[in-house]
Amino acid sequence: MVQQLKMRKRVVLLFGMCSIFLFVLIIRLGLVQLREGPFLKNLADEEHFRGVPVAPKRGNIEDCNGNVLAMSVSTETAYAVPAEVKKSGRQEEIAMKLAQILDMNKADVLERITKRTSLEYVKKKISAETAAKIKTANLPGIGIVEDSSRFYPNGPLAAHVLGFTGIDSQGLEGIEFSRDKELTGIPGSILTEYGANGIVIPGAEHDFIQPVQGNTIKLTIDKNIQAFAERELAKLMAGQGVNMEGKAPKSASILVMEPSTGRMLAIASAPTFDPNNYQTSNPAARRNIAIQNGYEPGSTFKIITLAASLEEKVIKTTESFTDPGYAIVLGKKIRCWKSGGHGTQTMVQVVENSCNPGFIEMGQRLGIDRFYKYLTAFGFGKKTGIEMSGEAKGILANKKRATALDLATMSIGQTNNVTPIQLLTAVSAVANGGTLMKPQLVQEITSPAGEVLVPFKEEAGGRVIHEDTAKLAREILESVVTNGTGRRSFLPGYRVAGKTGTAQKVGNGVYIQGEYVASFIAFAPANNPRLAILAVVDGVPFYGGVVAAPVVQSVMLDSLKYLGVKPDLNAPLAPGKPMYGVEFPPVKQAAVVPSVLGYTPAEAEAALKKAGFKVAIEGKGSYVVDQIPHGDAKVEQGSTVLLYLGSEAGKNTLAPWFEEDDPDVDAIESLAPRIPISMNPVLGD
Amino acid sequence: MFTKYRKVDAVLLGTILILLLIGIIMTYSSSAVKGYLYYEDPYHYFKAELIWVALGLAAMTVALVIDLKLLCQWTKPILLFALVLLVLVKIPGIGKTVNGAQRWIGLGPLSIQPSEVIKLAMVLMMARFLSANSNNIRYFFRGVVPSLGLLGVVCALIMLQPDLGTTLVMAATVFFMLLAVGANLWHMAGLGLAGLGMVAAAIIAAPYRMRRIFAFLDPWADPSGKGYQTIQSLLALGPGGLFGLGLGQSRQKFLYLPENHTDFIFAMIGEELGFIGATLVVLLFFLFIWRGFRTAMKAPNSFLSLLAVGLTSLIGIQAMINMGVVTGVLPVTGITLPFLSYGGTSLLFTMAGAGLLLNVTAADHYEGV
Repeated sequence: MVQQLKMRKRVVLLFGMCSIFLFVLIIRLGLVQLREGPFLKNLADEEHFRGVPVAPKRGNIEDCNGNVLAMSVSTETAYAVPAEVKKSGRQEEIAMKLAQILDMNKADVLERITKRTSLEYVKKKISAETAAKIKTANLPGIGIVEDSSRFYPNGPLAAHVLGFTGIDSQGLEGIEFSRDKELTGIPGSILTEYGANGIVIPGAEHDFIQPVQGNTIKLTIDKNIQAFAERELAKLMAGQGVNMEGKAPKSASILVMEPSTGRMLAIASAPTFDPNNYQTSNPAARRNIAIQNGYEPGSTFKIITLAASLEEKVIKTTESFTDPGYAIVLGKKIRCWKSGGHGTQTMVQVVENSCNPGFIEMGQRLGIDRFYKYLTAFGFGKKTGIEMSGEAKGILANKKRATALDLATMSIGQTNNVTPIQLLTAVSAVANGGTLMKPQLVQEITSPAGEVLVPFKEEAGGRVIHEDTAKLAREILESVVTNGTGRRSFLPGYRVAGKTGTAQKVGNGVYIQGEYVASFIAFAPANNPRLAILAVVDGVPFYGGVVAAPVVQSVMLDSLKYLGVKPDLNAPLAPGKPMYGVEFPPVKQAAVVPSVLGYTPAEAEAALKKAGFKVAIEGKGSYVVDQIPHGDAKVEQGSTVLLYLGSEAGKNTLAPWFEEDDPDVDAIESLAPRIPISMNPVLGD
Repeated sequence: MFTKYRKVDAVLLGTILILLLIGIIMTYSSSAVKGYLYYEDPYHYFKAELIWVALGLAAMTVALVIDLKLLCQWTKPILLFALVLLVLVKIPGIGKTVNGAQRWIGLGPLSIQPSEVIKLAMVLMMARFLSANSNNIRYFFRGVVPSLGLLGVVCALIMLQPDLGTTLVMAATVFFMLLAVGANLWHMAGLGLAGLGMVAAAIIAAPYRMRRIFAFLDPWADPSGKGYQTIQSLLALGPGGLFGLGLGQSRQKFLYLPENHTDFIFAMIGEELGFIGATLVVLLFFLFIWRGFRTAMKAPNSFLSLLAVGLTSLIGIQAMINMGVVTGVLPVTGITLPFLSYGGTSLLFTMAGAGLLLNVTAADHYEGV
C-alpha cells in the first residue's frame, strides 16, 4: 500500500511535468501564430507568390526646352512558355514556323522554346506585322507581349550625351547610363500564388503591383544649339569645312557652355553615331572625345597664363615688352612665330599677337609655384565632374621635376595635357567674372506627372581670380578677336572675345609634321558672356585661327541670334586696329552693305564704293565667294568690307588666310626635339 | 463481458475517437495535393488512411478485449518476437529502406515497422519487470540497472536503423516508468546528468553536432538545409493566425512542407484551423494524458498501474515531442503524431496501445493479475 501511495505521488509528478510541457507548447503556439503570425505570413507570401514583372515605362530625356531627345515606344516581343510547347509535342514544327516568321536560325529557336524556364523570350522588338503573323499562326505555347524600346527621334543628335540602351532597355552609355535608376522607374508585377513545384495553386490569390514609371530627365543641352554645333561638325567631316580645302579631320568636337552657371548647352563630337542603331556603329565613333580625350591645348591655354599674370599683377597692360623674336630658357632658344619678333609692344599687343616670348616672360614672372597654383585653381589635372562616364583627368607635368623650360612651354600651352571640357570650364571662369563652375548636364528631374523632383543646382568650385582681373582679361581677349589672331571669329555687331590655338600632334613620341590639333575658344558678348564655345579639330594640316575660328564664329552667331541676344551698338562693325582701352566710337550713320557674292572683283569694288564702303580683298580669284560684313548687314557708313575671292562663284576655294608664320606652329617647331608628355587619349580612372 | 465495456473510460475513448476523426479529416486535406500530383487521385492517401483506421479500430478492439492476465504471462515471448523483427529489418531482402533508414518489413501490400512493435513489447516487459521488482527499485544496481540494460540493448538495435525519434520516445517512457515505480529521484537526476554529460562529450568530440542539434533554435541560419523543415513548418503555423486559413486552404501543402501529412500534420492543423484548432489538439492530448495517468492511479495492481503509465507515456511523450518539433522548440526527430498522422504501422500500434489502456480502465474489478 505504501508502494501504491508512492506511485500515485509519482504519477502526479509525471502528470505535472507533462502539463507544464503542454502549457509551454500552447504559449509557443501563441507566439508563433499570433505574435509572429503577420511576420511569418509575409515570409510565406514571399515564398508562395511569384511575379510576372510588368516593366515600367522608361522616362524621356528632354532638352532644356522640353524637346524630346529620347523616348520609349511600344514594341512587340515574342515569348514562349516551354512547358506548354513541350506538352503539345510539336516543338520541331513550332520552331520551324517561328524561325521562318522571325527570320531566325531554327536550332536557336528550338533551344529557346524548350529551355527549362517558366517563360523565355524568343525575339524582342519585332514589328507589328511579324507579331500579327505569329498570332495568326496560333502556335501552342507561343505568345506576343507588348514591350517598350528606346527611340531617339533626332537620330544622332547629342548621341554622345544621351548614350543608348541595351535590349532590356537598360542604360549602357551617357545619360541613359548615369541616370539609369531615375529613368527606369520601379517594375511592377502580377503576383500569383504558386506551389513548390511551380504550378499555380488552384483558387490562388492574385496581386497586381503597379509599376512606377520612370522620371523625365531634362538636360541643359539646347537642341538647337546642339544642332548648330553638329551641323558645323558634319560640314567638317564631309570635307566642306571653311578653309579646309576639301580635307576632313580625323575627329572634331564643339562644346558650348553658359559661363555664368556651368550649364552645357551643347556637347558635340564627330565622328558620331545613331543611338537607334548603336550596334552597327563603329565603337570608336561612340567615344565622347570632348570629355574622354586629352590634348595639348596650344595657345588657347595662354588665356590662363594671362589671367594668372593679371591676377598676380606681375604685368601691367600699359607696360611695354620688347620681343627680340626668341626667348632663351636654360640655353634653349624658343623662337617667336614672327621672324625677327614683334618688336616693342604693349602687353595687350603681346596677347593680340599671341607673342610667345611675351607669354614666356609672364610665366617666368609668376614662377613655378604660382603658375601651378593657378593650374590647380582652374581645374587642370583633375576631372571637372561633368556627368559623363570615362572623363579624363588630363596630365600636368610633375611640379617637383618641373624646370624653367617646362614653365616656359607650359606658359604657351604646351607640355600639359588637358581635355576640351577642362579648358572650356577654365576659360568660362574668366568669362563669368572669376568663378570656376562645375559643368552641368542635367537641368532638372521631373516625375511622370510633371512635378519637379530635383531642381537645377549650380555648383561653384570657388573663386579663381578677382572680378576686375576677369574683366580686364575679357577686354584683352576681345581685342584678340578684333585686332589679333582671332579675327576669323569676328562677328559684326557682337563683342566676341577669344583665342586661337594650334598644337602639333605627337606620334611615337615625336611631333608629326603637318598634322595639327586646331582649336579656337571664344565667348560672347564679351562684356557679359552668354556663351563660351570651344571647337577642337583634330588631325588637320591647318591652324586653329584658320579652320577652328570660322566654326566657332558660325555656331556663335547662330546661337546668339537664336537666344535673342541683341547686337551691341557699341560693338565694332569690322575687325580693325587696336581699340583696347578706348570707347568704341558710336555708329554715326548706318548703311546697308550690298551683297556682292558672285561678282567679279571689279564689279564688287564698284558696287561697294558706290554705296560708300571701303574695300579690302583677300585671296585670289575671279569671283567674290564671301564677304564680311555679309550682305544686308547694317553697319557704319564708310567702313571696310572684306571680300574673299575664289575661282568659282559659290564655292569656298579661296586661298587659306595663312599668316606667313603661325604663332603657335612656329613655337612648336622651335621646340621640335622636345617631346611633350602625351597627346594620346587619356582615360580617367 | 458487457459490464467490462460499461466500465471503459468514456472520456478517454471519446478523446481518442475525436483525435482520430481530426486525423482522418486533416490527412485528407493534407494529402489531396500529393495524391493528385503523384497518383492523379486526390483520394489516394485518404483511401489508404481509411483502411489503416479500420485496421487500427480492429486492433484497438482486440486490445480492449484481450485478457490482460494472459498478456502479462506472454510478455517475454512477445518481447522476443519484437526483438527478432528488429534484427530481421536489418537483413537485406527483408528490410526496406526508405529515406535512408531501414525501418520497414514488407508483408505483401503492407509494410510494418518493427520499432512500433518493440515499443509496446517494451512497455509490457517493463511493467511486468518493475511490478515484480518494485521493492528493489530503490537500489540503483538491483533495480534500475537491469532496466537500463534492457533499454540499452533495444535502443542500440533501433539506432541501427537508425531511428533517433523512437529511441528518444522509448527511453523517456522507461524513464517515466522508473519514476512512477518509485526510483530514487537522486538516481534519476544522476542518470539525467549522465545523459547530458554524454551529449556534451559527443559535442566536444565533434563540434559540428552542436550546429546540427541546435539548428532548430535558429533555422534561418541554414534555410534550405538543416533549418528547412522547421522554417516551412513555422511558415505554415504563422499565416494560420488565430482562426486559420480554413479547412483545405493550406498553402504549405503545395509541396512546400515535406511530410505534411505524416510528421508535420500538426503544422497543417495550425495552418488550416489556426491557433484555436492547434490548441484544441494540445488540450485533447492533455485530456488523454490526464485520463491515462488517472487510470494508472486507479488500477488495482502495480502491473496494471505501470502498464497504464507506460502506455500513457508512450503515446503522450511521442505527441509532445512531435508537437515540439513542429512548433520549433525541439530538433527535427522524425516521429509521427499519434492518432493524427497518416496511417501505417504507427497508427495501428498506437491504437493497439490505446486499446490496452482502455482495457486497463475497465480492469478495476480484476483482483490482481
